[in-house]
Amino acid sequence: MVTPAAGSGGASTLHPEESGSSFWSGPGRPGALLLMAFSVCGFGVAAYLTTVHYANVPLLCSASGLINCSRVVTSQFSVVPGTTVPITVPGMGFFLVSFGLALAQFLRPFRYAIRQAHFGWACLGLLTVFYLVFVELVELHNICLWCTSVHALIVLTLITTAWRLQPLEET
Amino acid sequence: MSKKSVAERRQAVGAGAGRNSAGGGRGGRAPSRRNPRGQQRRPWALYSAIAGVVAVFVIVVVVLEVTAGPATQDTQVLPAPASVVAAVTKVPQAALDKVGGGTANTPPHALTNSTRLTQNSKPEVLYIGAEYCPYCALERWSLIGALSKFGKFSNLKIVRSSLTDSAGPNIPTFTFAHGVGYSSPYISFVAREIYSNVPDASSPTGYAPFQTLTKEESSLFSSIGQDGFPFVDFGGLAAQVGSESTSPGPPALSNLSWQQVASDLSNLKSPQAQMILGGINYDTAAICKMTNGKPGKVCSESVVQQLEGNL
Repeated sequence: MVTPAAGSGGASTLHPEESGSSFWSGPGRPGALLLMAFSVCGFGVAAYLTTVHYANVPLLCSASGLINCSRVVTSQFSVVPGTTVPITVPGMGFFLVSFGLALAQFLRPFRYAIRQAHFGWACLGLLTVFYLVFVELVELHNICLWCTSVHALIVLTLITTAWRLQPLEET
Repeated sequence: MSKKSVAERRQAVGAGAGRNSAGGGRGGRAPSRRNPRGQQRRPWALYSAIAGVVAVFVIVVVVLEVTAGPATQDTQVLPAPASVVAAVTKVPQAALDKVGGGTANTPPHALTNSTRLTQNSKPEVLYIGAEYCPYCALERWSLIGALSKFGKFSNLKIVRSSLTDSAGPNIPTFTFAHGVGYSSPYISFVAREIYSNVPDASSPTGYAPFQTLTKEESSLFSSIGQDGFPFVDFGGLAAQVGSESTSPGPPALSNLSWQQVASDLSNLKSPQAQMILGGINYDTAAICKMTNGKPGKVCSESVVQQLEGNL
């Protein structure tokens, strides 16, 4: 266990995340685990929506009124523009990369550049959330709860990575 | 990774932190940014920028929603766009075969001992509906698709159903009034829109009365249709009361554009395609029953024969 050096006038105070040093709760690792959890959940939802698209099975969601998942995921906006690839496929890719970056932070908790990269990746995700929410509310006038859960996970990833941009203690 | 290497890694992390606490360095760590009290600074300017971008996005969406939303009943009667007409009157047979009955859960039912309807020596399809009615709005898409297999529409017009009907507001659809024509060598088509989509507080339905029924039509509307619309009498051999799909039904078309519905028809997994194409197949089967299987090209399709057997 690492403890702050006494009488150092606060200059050697550890980052709060570094107060424990076990494998799971070591410096920066709880945050990395949280990011991995977001990625796994997001990948799962995107994979489910992709499966529904290709298997042509009903979606577990309301199909009428404002909450209308079917309307959203079968609309012209549900594929990558100019292709027939469902937009959930790049969504799976986003969370796969996000998981990789979170894992890298877990294994290399002191690599500040990885945190920055993950934050940048999450910003890219936020732009796609803007596009998709715009399509849902302005173009389709319908909301897909599955899609909203993915959007929420991307925003949570952004908030977490932004919060982890805090510089570490001096060297 | 071996147990030893994991142990070494754990040790290295702890040691690294220890070195740092003692002023040692470690590659890849950020340089110090502390205030005089020793507290680490957060990039508040960056957080503010992100919050600002999100706020701008929310404001833009809200403004677009508020300014774009229909505030009053749309009572315009406009010529149907050619692309929309083509999408509903020329549905590829492969698409119809694939959808089959679709999600049609209340298809036409056979009539026994009913008066045979004819006009100009041809079996007659009688439609009774209302322009404000959401179920009629959905049914017209299917009926136009089916009737186009036996003849041709002219001057098709588009209207919107009631903006406030809880069964599904503001549905893009067609009207059979306002000079719309239909000709076919096999059948006659008589359509009555008995209420318009123009609000009228003095009307029992809340919408202005429009076309009137003959005594015979009124009798059929009451006896078979139970005074509910849409009502379609297929020559006295089969009848449709209400739209063919009630789930998800009209709400699946609410607030869409005609072009969006037309586009959805080519996406066979969409609820719009499932309802409308399924309805086209059932209506086609009912009409084939009237024409004794003519024309053969239409009525010999396996999906039509299968559904005709279900009537």
